[in-house]
Amino acid sequence: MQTETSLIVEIRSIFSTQLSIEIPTLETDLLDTGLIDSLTMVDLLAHLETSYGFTVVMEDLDIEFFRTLKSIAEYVDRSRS
Amino acid sequence: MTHLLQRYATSQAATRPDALAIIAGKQTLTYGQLEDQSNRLAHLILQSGCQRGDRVCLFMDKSPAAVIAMHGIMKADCVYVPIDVTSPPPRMLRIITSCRPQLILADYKSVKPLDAVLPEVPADQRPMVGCMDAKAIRTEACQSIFDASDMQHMEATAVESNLSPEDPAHILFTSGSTGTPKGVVLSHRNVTHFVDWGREYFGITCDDRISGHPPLHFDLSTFDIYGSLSAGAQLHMVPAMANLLPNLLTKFIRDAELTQWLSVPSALTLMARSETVSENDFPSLRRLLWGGEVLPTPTLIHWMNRLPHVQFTNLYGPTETTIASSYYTVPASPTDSRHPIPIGQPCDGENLFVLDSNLNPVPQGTQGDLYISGQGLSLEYWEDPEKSAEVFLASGDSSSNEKIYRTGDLAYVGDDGLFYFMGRNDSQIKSRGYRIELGEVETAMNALGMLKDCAVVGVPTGGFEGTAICCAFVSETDVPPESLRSNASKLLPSYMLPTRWQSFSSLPKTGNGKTDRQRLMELFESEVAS
Repeated sequence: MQTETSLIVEIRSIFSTQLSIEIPTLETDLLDTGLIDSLTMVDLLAHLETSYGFTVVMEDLDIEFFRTLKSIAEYVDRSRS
Repeated sequence: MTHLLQRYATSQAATRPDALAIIAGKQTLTYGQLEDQSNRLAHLILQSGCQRGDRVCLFMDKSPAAVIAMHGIMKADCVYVPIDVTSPPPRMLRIITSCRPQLILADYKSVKPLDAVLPEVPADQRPMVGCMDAKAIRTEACQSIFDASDMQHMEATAVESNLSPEDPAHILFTSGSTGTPKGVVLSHRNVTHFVDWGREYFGITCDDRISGHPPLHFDLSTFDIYGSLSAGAQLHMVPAMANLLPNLLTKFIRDAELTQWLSVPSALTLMARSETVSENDFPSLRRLLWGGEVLPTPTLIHWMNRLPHVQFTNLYGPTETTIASSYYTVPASPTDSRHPIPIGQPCDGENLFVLDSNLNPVPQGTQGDLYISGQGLSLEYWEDPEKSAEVFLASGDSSSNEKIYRTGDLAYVGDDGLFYFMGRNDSQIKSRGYRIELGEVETAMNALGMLKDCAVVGVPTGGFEGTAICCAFVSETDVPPESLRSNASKLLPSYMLPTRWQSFSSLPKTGNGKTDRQRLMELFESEVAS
């Protein structure tokens, strides 16, 4: 089991309150399950930008950044520092 | 003229067997391989007992193997039905029980959805399964009767075909307002007519490198596949994951050195908004085509200013009239961003009419209902004479038995003689190119048994999303939207899930007691705008 850091808790809450998406577990593959599709990706990026005060550099984005809650948290952590 | 879809590849294989037909990442398929393998598959399909006109469902992503499967099925005189394997099992099941396939062709990646659906099919209707990977499928619910390794034991000679161009080639299921998807039956002639026109009009040749972007259950995909194969061009399949990030789409077009990019407005808008396309980008690109929904004019201006070397063409037409019925090649970057892009003029062999409620033509410039007749007109909705009769009407011309299709779209003819799309006269919407009946979404929400009342309305966003699907609901237990969405995802494909939610103590009603949908749209509008 992975541990749920406060950043992961926050991102999970962005999914549930802003995008109305329930993420079953920390290990859930958000891409293979289709929980992130092209529409939710756009909304997700916008919410991450406003919540964490950074600008997404589109050219640097890799699909693997968005596979799990943990990988999103790592991406946010890198981007805001 | 061949008028049978599978003959395009056959004729290329005869003259250029080693030319590349399909490229998907590291996988490639030559015209010779496509011909050889689809012939062998056709023998296997016939050996399994399939007969002329039998339906064969495809449980596969868009891939070289899927194109082999489509060709093998048609060569066996059968009809293919692409299934969206990302949609929930109950929806796949409704399509399977409707079209009653004799056989399913699946790949290994689709074993999970297959396992979920097959046990639910009544035993006497359960189709056989063939695996397009070189390994048998052996699960509790599914035992394949052949796999790709068996193809090598079959003859590579062509199967003798008794097909006529009027026979169905495929059935494409689209959203139905009562919750049951409708199957649009398209003949070989329907599709070859458009493909032949498109190849000539766009000047597609064997030097072209064409994108394969929309999924197989989406009718624009038939043009990228057969348009490319008919010219002996290369079809470059866009990986599904590239849809999620615009920079990946941009990189794909660059790396594949595409000459033709056929896409949907949502992808074009997303790429424009993310500023991933630079000036004079994609030097190989000659044509950019889009269809499926309205492209916002500012997005078009963005693209045309960036890519002055590219020809831009809007394609318009519902699945029922095959790929597209009208086209508009934009002569120059629009100067007024508020001016809509016309849907243009009819393609050769097609007719568009703007009519009033008595089927009489309205004066030029007046909005009316858009009807279409011509070579692309679908045969019918699969085994649904009632729905077919509602929209495929006698043309009123007593000298011919030609039919006209009521599109449900509103349109007018401008001073320039071009047709302009003005929206819908019912509750069908477009979101990211997908055609969605809001009735299907509402039926699913009600079927959850979690809500006292609910209404689903569409609110245009003017941006990437197209129309936003908004759900107004009344629940006794204060159920959160994420729980509704999560439960609805068991019944609806993800592109049909509402993205905006509002809880009410009771839904607003009109004077005669009906749900006030106009009021609901206004209530959601402020949220969508934010």
